[in-house]
Amino acid sequence: MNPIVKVNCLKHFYPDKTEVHLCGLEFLVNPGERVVILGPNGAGKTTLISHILGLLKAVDGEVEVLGMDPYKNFEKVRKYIGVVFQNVDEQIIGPTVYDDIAFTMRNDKVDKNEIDKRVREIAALLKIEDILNKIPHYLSGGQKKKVALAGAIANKPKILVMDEPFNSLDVSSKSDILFLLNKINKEFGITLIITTHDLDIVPEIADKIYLISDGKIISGEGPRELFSNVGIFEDVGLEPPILSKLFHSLREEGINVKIPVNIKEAKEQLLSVINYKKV
Amino acid sequence: MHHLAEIDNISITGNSVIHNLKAVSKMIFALFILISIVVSDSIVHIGGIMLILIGILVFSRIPLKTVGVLVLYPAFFSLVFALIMMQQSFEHGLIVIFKAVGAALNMILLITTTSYVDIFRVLSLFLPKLLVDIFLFTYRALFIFIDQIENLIKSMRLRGGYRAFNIFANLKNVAGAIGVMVIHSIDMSNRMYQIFSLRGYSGGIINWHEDKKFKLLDFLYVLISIIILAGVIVF
Repeated sequence: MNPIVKVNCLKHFYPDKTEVHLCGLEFLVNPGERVVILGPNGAGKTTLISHILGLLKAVDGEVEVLGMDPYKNFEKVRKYIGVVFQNVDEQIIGPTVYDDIAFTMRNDKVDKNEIDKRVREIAALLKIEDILNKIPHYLSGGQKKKVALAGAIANKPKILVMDEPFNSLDVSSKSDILFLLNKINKEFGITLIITTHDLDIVPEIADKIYLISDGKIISGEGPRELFSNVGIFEDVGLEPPILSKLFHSLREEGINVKIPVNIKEAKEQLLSVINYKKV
Repeated sequence: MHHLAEIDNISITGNSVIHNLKAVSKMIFALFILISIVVSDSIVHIGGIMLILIGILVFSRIPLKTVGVLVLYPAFFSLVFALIMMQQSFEHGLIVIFKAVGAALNMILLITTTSYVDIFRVLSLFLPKLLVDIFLFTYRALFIFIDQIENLIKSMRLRGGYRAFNIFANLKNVAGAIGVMVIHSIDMSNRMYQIFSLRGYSGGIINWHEDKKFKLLDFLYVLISIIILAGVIVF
């Protein structure tokens, strides 16, 4: 399978002379995959995303999206990428929710009836039909995130890039967004590229996790492999997931358990230990 | 901020007969009414126009309490000129206030029944594309920007940056805050430009709403304003 996104040894200079040099492992994303980028602040996550979106020009290295250089072929690549930025307030452009979802399609001269059909379909999918005629200023944080997501997927992109989508969301909005992202990945086959700090929900949304630290891509594994290695998180200055920490310390106490990636697995492991002791 | 968002909401979500008229007919109406108010020197005429405008506002289901507050600003500022004019006669002073309030009511009627994008679209026929783009960008950014200013002022006060009767220190802190906001706004405009590009915007006014057709009611609405203007000139 040919990767849909490929980044190799990327170098970028910001105007204040800050240099970001993302080397180490090659960043590869296959079609339909859910990829999470983890890393502490200033690791280069947003720089990586900006290059994938074609917003920045690399000084050195290789960036390929759908076989094209996204910076040189911005207009071509843009049509296949949906994006949700960290601050969705700056992303919602339309005077009403309906207009915002339709924004990209109108720019791409999609037929009016088709636009209407797609806006209503996506609104139903994200359960925001009741706010279609509302103006954005009065929406809650979770609703704004959903509107931005609807606007990003309205044009049926192949890749959806999201920068910190779970930031400043309450538990219920977070699980809503999580559910929706998995749904659109499954139903429409949209490839997901997500940056987040929220390690506890990463296993729910990732097939592959890239860990970035000090300008190096140091790991590109599945959640099970990565979460078994608690030390790697501490090395890069991230707090390991709470379940990994707990089960790692149980292992240090000599209890034979595997590191789980979710609550269900943790429960099964604990129950088997308890039952074993009872017997 | 509060008023701006509320006006935006009323103009976009309103569904009265006036809301459904074409933006251009509402702008022509507003123009003729404004000329009528400017050329008239009769308190009866201007009072009559104000009553008509209030009638249309009620008919359009615009909450008078909300827009009433906005009328107070021109009323207050025209008071200074009115007091000077009142030295000639009480009626002259009253005319100054009526003209200011009438003109404000006229513009309030326009902006509460017509969305800003529709107004910009009509303006784009006369103004350079770049200027219309600037209006559009600025309008969206304004809401975010005002929120940021409010937060900055709150944080400044909480950190002891604002003290009553300490004008020089306050001025210094406010100047610093404005500097920070300028840098923020440059950053924000950069990000918003990137978002507009990624979402396929390549300039020009976006066709947000289905363009309404000229209907009989549009002609009638414009006709009312012409009759008012003629009435003011003739009588």
